[in-house]
Amino acid sequence: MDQLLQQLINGLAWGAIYALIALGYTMVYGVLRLINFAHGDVYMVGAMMAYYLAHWLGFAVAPSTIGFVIVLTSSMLICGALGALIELVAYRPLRNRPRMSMLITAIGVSMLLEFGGQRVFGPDPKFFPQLIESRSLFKAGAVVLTNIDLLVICVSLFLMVVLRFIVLRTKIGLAVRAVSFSFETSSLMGINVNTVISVTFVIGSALAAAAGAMVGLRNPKIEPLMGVLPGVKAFVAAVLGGIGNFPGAVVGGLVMGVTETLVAAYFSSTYRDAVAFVILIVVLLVRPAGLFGKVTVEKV
Amino acid sequence: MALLELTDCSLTFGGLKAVSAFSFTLDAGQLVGLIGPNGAGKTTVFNLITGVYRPDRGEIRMQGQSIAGLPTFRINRSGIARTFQGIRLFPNMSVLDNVVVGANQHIARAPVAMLFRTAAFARHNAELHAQCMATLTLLGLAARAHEAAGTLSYGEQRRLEIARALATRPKLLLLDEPAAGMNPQEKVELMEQIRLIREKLQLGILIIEHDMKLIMKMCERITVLDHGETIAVGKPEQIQIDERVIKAYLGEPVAHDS
Repeated sequence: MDQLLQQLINGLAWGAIYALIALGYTMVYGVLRLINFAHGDVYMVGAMMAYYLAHWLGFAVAPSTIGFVIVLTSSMLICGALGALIELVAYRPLRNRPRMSMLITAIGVSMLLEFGGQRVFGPDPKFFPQLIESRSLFKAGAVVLTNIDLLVICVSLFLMVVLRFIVLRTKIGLAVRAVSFSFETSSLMGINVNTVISVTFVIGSALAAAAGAMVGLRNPKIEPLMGVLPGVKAFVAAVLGGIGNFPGAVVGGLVMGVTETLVAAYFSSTYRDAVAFVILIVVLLVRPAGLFGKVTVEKV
Repeated sequence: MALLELTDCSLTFGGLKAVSAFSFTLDAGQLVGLIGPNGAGKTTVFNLITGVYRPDRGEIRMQGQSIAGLPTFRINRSGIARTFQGIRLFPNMSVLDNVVVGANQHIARAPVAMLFRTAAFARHNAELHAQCMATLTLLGLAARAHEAAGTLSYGEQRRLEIARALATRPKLLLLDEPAAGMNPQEKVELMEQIRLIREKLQLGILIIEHDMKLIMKMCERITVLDHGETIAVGKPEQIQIDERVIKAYLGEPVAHDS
């Protein structure tokens, strides 16, 4: 029982990370119908930026909560800009081409970030500074809730609430919803579609960066290829929830995180990474539109 | 100065001349009809005016400013709004939100105020919603403001398209077959609503419609297209007896009742 509770806590923390990345996949898919394969690598850049910022700003030697907040938000801003740049340079010129061109370009951008990352950051793993000292907040038997786990879950939750507010209650959110229905109609209603798509990339990339910076606290070993697997898993999480659906991405991420940790704990950690793909196959067979996706019946 | 002025506009798709040497003016407050058989190029003219297509040749001016080749959202912001022949609402949004999207560019750009929900922002928002509700009332849709747009009846969806276009505060409104699919009662109401909109908002209106009774009753002037060419321009009573129009479109010299 204790072990189960402990694994649930770990699973939720990982799930929150997956959920943040999955939201970016879902947002971009919503407006462009594009699986942005480079998204997992933006998460890696988020972790790397947090690492360098922590060192440059001196928080690595003098850890503090405020230091972490500064590092987190700066990394989010930098990656937001990176996301907008990727869209501008790689995807915008292909917007009116067959969708396959954009998809292949996304894989190209992904590789550029991975191997460009090895060139720029170096291929060896780096050790993320302990910006916040890990301590246990709560202990019951063998179950330990650390402040890091709580922080990851709370920050993720906060960012999701902010995102929900932006999408449902603001001008730009309304524009995002309109654009995800139709570019042309939105544009004829006076909405600048290019701006809306840029903003979507900025928000999605900033969320991935937040996930990257927080992962550094829990699993301090970071390297340029660290985004590959979480990227794939978050993509599966988005599909599981129903791609294009925001609550779906969050639930999908949590399910993915929890299942994965439980499998690793009770079966074998060898199968940990295979779980994502088993889930993907089962979802595609049983509910192709995802948990929250609407099954569309074509009218004849 | 004319509100809208097209001079010698031409557009070809491959070998097909969709619109050739089309010239046209519309003054503020005028209601003009654009008619012709299917495939005559009427909707293409709308697409040229709203920037969906760029003319191969010719000039399009809105209040003296050249607009040919501008992106569609800029043309909308210059004061031209349209509805669509096939309904293109945002079906999952509420009726009110559809109109708010139309009003989008009039929402203040103040992210800080938005985040902290200042009094000014709240007031502004309330004002915006009141305006959008007023627009819905004008089209008789106020009672359905909070339903999903996709659940409205066909006639209501057509009227919501007009409300959404009006929310962008146009000086020129382009209506693409607003009465298509409406029953006779709805058509009578629609005519009354268009008349009201025109009186209240003082806009220029260009209307494509196959219902000749509606067109002849409402329009001050009619332009007739056939195979992309203007075959007649004039008052309704002149158009009704024009030989070429009868041959190409109307079919018989009495007022056509559809």
